[in-house]
Amino acid sequence: MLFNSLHYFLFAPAVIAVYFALSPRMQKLWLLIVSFYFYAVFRIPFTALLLFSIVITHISVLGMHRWSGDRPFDQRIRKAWLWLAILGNASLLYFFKFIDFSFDVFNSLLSLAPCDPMYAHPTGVVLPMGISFFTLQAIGYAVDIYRGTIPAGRIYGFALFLSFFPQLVAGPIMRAKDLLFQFEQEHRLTYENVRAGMGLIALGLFKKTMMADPAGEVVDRVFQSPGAYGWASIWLAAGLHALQIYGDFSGYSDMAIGTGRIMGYQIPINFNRPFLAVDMTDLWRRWHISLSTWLRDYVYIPLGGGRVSRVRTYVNVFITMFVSGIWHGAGLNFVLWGGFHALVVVLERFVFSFERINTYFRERVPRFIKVSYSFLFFSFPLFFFRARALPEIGDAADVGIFMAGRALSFAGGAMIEVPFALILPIILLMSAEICVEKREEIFEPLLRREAFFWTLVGVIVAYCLLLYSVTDSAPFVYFQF
Amino acid sequence: MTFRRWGKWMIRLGGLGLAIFVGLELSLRIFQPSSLDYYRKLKLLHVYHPEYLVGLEPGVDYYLRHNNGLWEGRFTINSLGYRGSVEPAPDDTVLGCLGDSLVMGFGVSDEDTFCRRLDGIELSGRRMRTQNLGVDAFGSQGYAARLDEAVHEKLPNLRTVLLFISPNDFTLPQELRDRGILPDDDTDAIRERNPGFKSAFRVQFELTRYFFTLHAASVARQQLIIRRALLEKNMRRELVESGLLEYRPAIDGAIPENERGFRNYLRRSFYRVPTPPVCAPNNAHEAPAPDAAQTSTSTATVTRPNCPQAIPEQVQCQARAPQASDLEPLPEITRRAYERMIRTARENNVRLIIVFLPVQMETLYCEMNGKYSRFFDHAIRAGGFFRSQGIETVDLRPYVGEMCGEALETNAAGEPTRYSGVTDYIIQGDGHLTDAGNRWAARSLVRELKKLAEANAF
Repeated sequence: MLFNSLHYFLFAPAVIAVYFALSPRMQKLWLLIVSFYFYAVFRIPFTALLLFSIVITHISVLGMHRWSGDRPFDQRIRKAWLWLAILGNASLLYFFKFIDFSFDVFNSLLSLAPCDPMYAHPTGVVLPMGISFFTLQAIGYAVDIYRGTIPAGRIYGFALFLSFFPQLVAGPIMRAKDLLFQFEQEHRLTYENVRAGMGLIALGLFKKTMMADPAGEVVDRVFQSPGAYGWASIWLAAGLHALQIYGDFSGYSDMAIGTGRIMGYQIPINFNRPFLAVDMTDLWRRWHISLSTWLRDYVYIPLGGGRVSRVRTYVNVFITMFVSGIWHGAGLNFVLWGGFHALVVVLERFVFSFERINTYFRERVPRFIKVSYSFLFFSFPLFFFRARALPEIGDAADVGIFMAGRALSFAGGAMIEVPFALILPIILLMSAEICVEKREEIFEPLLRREAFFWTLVGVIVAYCLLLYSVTDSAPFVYFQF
Repeated sequence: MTFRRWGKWMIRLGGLGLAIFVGLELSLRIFQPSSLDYYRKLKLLHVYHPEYLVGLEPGVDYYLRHNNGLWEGRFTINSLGYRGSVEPAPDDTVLGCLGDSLVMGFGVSDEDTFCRRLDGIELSGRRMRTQNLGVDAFGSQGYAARLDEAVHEKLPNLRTVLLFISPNDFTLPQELRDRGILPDDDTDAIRERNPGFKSAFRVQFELTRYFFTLHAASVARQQLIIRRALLEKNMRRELVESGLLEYRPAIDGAIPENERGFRNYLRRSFYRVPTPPVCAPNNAHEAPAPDAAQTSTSTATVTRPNCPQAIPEQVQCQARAPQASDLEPLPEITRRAYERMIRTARENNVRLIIVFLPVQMETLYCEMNGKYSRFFDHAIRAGGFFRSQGIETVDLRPYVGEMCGEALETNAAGEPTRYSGVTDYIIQGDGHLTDAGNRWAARSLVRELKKLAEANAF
């Protein structure tokens, strides 16, 4: 089920109303049922994958619990059980997301033609929604239990943790220590929660409907026929795509957090004004925070993190960023995208390791130049991120290279029109973010005025309701990951 | 809660509602969401008319883009409220095209409507200038009122009127009737019985025209009805595919065997048949069918389709057309409107010609194969009536065969690079004529009108 659909507008109030009418024990059961329903709406059999992830992870948790002694043998067995959870979930992810890509790589490495007997043919496997998110969440849970960060719980609580519908299909990727205990708490319907939740939902809808979707319409035109557009349009399309995916994904996260909040659950933020970051490392700290912290805790730190030699740290950073790129999609274009960011972040670390350069950059370079730098370096590789195969150019990676080439060679061509109806929400949102960045509570006095707040929320919700009644909004970009 | 507090809350809520309404109105006008843009422009194209309820706003000029991307084009209304920018000159001999959206020309730009393409046609030595009198959603009563107004007020030189009888004037499939969608004449009959309808309609029309919010709400309501029906259909299909519900062809339409049953459902949930790789040299798979004529071009080999095109499985045809006397007589309201038009035409020396333009896919496939579809019954019924009144009729069914194998695109050397099929003439999912469809209609009409002119001078 999409958050930006009429279905969700009917589903969420009904779920919340019943939720608060039930006893705390029944509330959990109710959440589990509606979360599976939420997922089954995409396609009923997809729930089997969710169940598989729950069962395999829980079995391994039981195993770890059983062998929790301090003897080396116990620890080896515990590790084996952990690997069961990791490999079980990773193989699920590999099979549904990466198998065809690995066949492509295999064919390319051996230079196999389609008619070659060795040629690995694509399987045609469908990528189920949300699989990239809940498998990471399950692996994180198993590792946390292994490390003793959280105690092993019952399958009931874990199933709810993994399937909790606000964050099931596109995150934020929750950590057991942040969410699991909340299922044990009693949640009451409070005005403060409803107010805060509705505010976040309205903000998410604004980002998605008024900024991301209209930006997507402009971006699609350029990416569908890049040869027709000049360098300025291609750069503009990349910048607009950055804003599109930001509006799209952070909008989704806001709606997820808002829905959870109405029910009394605190879901941590996933975006922290990333386009006001002063360098790329800062940007990645502010972008898709739940994935960045997951990668930090379960990839970067186990690799040794920053407590190893300088070169090894760079390698660790590169690997972590590269994994982040690959996680986003199975294709050479995502490899290039991830590789570019990995390289930039490593180079940044290297350059800033020189104290004088670092100090000069932090203290002397104007903020708008630093912000422009990070936005530019975020936007540029989006040629690869957004690219799709075009018959007249080639596969997605070829299209990305073609576009980057046109952008850098100042190629001539048509200019895209950016409607005022798109410029206005971008200006509104970015101005608001700049103000909040300067002073967190700057809008508090205004938002404390109940009439103003509820009018704003009412207008946005009604606006989206009208639109979703007429036509479906574009699916969230991150659903494909 | 005391009455006073209750009242205070009501005032607050009312104020909030008003503020939201104003904010929504401003937002819709500023952001102009693309999904509503088409509907909004359509609304603004129209104007309330005291006689036939809805006409076209004179002097309007919009570029319309269908909300599902089905078509786009320039939509201009002249000073008389007729589609197109051409104004009639005082000494013109005018040929009017009268009908609903099909005639008005949804689907193409002003200059591509078949009516505009007839402009300048010479009949019996006289050059005719066309005016497009069509308005979407008109029924027979609308045609009659529009003709009256044209003859008496707007077009003194109107000499010939081509009246295009639309399939949905007085007939509609039962499936649509079940959803509460009625033929235009039935709707007019209900309105006629309601004395307060016109004033209520005017209020509703003007309010939705003025306030974007109210118009958007009205569009949303209509779309929700359609979407609900679609949702029910899709849910049923998924249950049928999964084997949980019994497959009933009459309700579910054609669902292939390999898409039914639990195993197939599971397979289709997780698996899509990938495109098979091309092993042979690049052009080998483009070899034409043995019985197909072919033209080679510098870039590709283009195969002319086998004409006539085969009748799809779901289309039902019958061997021959029924007689008008075997069919149900016309509804009373339709007959009255036709009689009024005949009277108006005769009293004002206007030649009325009834045209039957086949546009439904069932009719096109059946006719192309020398058969008949019941979807054309409306024309047989109306034709029988008009001929009994001594009015000429023109039937374009004999030209349907030309909808297959026409060269739609050519290369620089003038060789065809694409041949047509039936679906190139009608906008799928919309039912209006495409550019090729309008060209076909204009071409066919010219030939029929020339024949009429030879037989009976204009």
